Amino acid sequence: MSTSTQYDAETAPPSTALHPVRWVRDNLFSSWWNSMLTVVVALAVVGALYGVLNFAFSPERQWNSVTSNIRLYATFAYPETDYWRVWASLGIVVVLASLSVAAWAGRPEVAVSKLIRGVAFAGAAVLLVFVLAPLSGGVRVTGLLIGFALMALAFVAWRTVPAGKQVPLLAVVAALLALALAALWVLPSFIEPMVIALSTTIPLTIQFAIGIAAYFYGMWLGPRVGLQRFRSILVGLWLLSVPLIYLVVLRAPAWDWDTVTSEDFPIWVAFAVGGSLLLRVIADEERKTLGRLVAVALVLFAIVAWTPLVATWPWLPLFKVRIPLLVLALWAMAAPSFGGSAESRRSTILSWIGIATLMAFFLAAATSGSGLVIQTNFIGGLLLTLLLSIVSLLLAFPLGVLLALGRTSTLPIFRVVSTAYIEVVRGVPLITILFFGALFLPLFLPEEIRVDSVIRALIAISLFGAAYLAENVRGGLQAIPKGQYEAAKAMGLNTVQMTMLIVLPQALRAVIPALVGQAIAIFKDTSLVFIIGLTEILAVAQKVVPGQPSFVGSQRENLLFVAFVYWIFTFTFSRASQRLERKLGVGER
Amino acid sequence: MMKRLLVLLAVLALVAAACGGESETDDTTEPTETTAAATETTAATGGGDVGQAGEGGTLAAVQARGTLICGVNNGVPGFGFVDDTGTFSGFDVDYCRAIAAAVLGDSEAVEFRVVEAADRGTVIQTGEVDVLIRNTTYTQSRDAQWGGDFGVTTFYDGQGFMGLQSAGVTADSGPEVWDGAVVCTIQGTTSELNATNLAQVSGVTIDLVTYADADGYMNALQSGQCDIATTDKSQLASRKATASPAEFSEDLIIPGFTFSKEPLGPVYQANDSQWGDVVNWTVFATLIAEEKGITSATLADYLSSNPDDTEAARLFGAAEDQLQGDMGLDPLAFANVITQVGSYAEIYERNLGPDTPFNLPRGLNELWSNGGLLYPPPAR
Repeated sequence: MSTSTQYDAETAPPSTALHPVRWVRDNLFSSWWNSMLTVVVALAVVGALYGVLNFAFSPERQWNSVTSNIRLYATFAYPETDYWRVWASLGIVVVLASLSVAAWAGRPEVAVSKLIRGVAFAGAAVLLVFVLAPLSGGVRVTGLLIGFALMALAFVAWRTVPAGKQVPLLAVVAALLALALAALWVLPSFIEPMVIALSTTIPLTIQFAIGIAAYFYGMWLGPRVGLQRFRSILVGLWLLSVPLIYLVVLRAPAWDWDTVTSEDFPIWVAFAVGGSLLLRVIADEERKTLGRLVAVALVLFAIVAWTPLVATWPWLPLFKVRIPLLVLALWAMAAPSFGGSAESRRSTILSWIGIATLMAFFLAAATSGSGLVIQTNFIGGLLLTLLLSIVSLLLAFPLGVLLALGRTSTLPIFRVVSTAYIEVVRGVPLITILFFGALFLPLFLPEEIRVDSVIRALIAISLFGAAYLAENVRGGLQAIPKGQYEAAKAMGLNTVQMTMLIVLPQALRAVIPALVGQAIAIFKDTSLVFIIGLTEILAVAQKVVPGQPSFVGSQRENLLFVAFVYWIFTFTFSRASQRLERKLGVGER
Repeated sequence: MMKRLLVLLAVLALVAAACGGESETDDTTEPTETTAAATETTAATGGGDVGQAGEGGTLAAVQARGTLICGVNNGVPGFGFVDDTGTFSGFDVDYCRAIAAAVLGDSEAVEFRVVEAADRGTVIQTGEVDVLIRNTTYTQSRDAQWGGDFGVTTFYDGQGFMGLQSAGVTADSGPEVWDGAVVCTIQGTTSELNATNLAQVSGVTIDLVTYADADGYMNALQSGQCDIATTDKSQLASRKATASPAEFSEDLIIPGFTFSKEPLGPVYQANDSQWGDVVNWTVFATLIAEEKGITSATLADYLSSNPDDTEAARLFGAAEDQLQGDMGLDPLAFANVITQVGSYAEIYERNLGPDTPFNLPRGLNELWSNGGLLYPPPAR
């Protein structure tokens, strides 16, 4: 039995769409009372819009303070000669995003009627703006013509396109992006001063082309490697992309080959070879108990390695030793349970070698200096805002899920620790945690350790976000009926399987709106990092641009611009999450 | 049972590592937070911020690092700001570049750290910056509490106030026009304190309103929410010069009355006299150059055409008996300062002079010979 989405004309339900005039009459002017409400609210909206437009289009506004500082908004003081690194990072994200769209979304469709409505609304908005804004005659007429043209387009389309027709959503998105790109190519010759140079237009066009190519490559590749496998590979690549972009592409490590050959390489060899041998020994059915004892001992040792007890030992106080040691200990813990058969043993060892190699590479990159001739603290502007929010989300989400599971765990030790953590962190404002990171951390740290302020901010925001995400996830966990747990147990699933396969997928699905809300909150919270001297996009508008001699007093224009940028991101994000909710059927089951 | 316990232990270890190791033992010599903090540096090494002042002092650390880390402001027009290409500029920033030119021979070898007003004490104490040049008034409390030393003053400022001519403020107005007025200033600055003191001393009642930045009080003045704005005169002058529209700018007036001393200058870590000498003589070199009428373009000519000026020859490395070597610097250190950054006059003109929107008169920031306060010690 298949549930077809194709209806033939006879069985299709009659269209419930109303004629626009009829819709207006039924919904806005159905009674004298409703009509009055409509008029009053419309007047209030027009009044508010009039005020905003009067401000925005006043000849006193220094909008060129925004247009001539686009570079500061994008990356702050990132050196121009290394700008290709920014484009390369964006390229990585674009490719991964396109592949992900291919892997998860496939070929989504959108109703033409919805697009027509969008065009009509856009036309109405343009008309409203150009009627209300204080503009000169010529500009106003041009704007009104554009508005009328959009309305006319919508009308013609509404008359000609059959109801219920669907078009591919991605084609629409691509067309809109292409339109925006075309505007970038054409507009600079009309707007003075020339602010959008070819140096941005060409890379953006290339990114667009790469994105489309990657999508089709993903559509071709996906079925060939198997969709499930393709998706897991993509998740891995996404996780890998964060340290790659942060440590290698943007920071441009200045490899000190002496250190690499005398420290990094021997450490890598020792961990890869020694770790493999260790895993080979303990990942054995015969020596299960011994293996676990060794693993526990290794965990304890790895934890002790972080304490000052071993500060005088050779090698051990190095981060590039401590971190792989901890990970090896965790691998060793898992090895006796998962490394039974010869094949699974091999995969345990191979995955360890892979992880050890990646860790060695990234830790070597992290501990080397930056090769950039950089004027200030790494990056800033929108790039910093995005980096902080994405990385904090990636770190905070798993931690939040773990905390939520810990808080609902039946083991008191996890419950108490998780609850204490969540309540303490939620009881403190983010700004306090950031201040702690900025002002106190350097005083407590030993002389030779200096923590970059970007990292301080990342840690603070992640730890803060995790506590909130944990509570959201806990809400979802509590929404799972007891029967689900019992059914899972009855199927013979163990606790880990039950959690991973039955409970979490349902719990997370149930709290998508709350999670998205939290993600948006974290995105906006990143603006607080200005207090530790990082110049993210809000600080550029609030302080940097008004600090330029030629644009003194231009703060309001810049703040309005940044508000708009924030809105674009959060609105896109919330729209995407609505699609996700519809796809997963939240609220319908 | 054993298996489940182990998996849980693994998770615990992960959690412990991720949240900063609450369960770990404390160091005996460090404050209790050290362990947690040290754990948090897991990824921290990403900053690569090693190599602060060790035994050799700040000078050795800077020379070893190859860059000067200078704490600056990123939003004070004329003093420390970032232009649209992302380059730090301004009067204070030029002194960062001057120190880099003296120590490293390259005025571009500076890494700028944006420092917020509240963090200034910490960055000095921890040595996060080599020198802080960020509109910082030299006061007793800061000298005593920040764990830093103040260098020679580069800019003498003083607090004044700005009002509207249409509201009856004239060039000769004093605190009497404050009576019953809404006085606006920037929060957390010495200006706030000075304004309260002045009101008390002169027996006027004011309604003090503070804003986060200068744009705040300018907008409030324009919309009539403030009657008087008070802060350092250099800032008031630059705001008046750049206010729009023109009628508003012309209506603004800054009376001659000054009621505080604001000597602004560099700050560096305490008890490092070698580094203090380097910072201060960099400033003195720019002043001495102005005294002699030397500019970045004319230094070489001056030295060749004035062989009798042994002071200039020593200071700018043209003579054998130069003293820069004793300071741990290259003989040409101060010559680099002048050729790469310029004399005091050049730095002032470039950032605050008539060709800038501010056009600040030199006032107290004239050489002593012109009736100002700038009085460099002799280079001999």
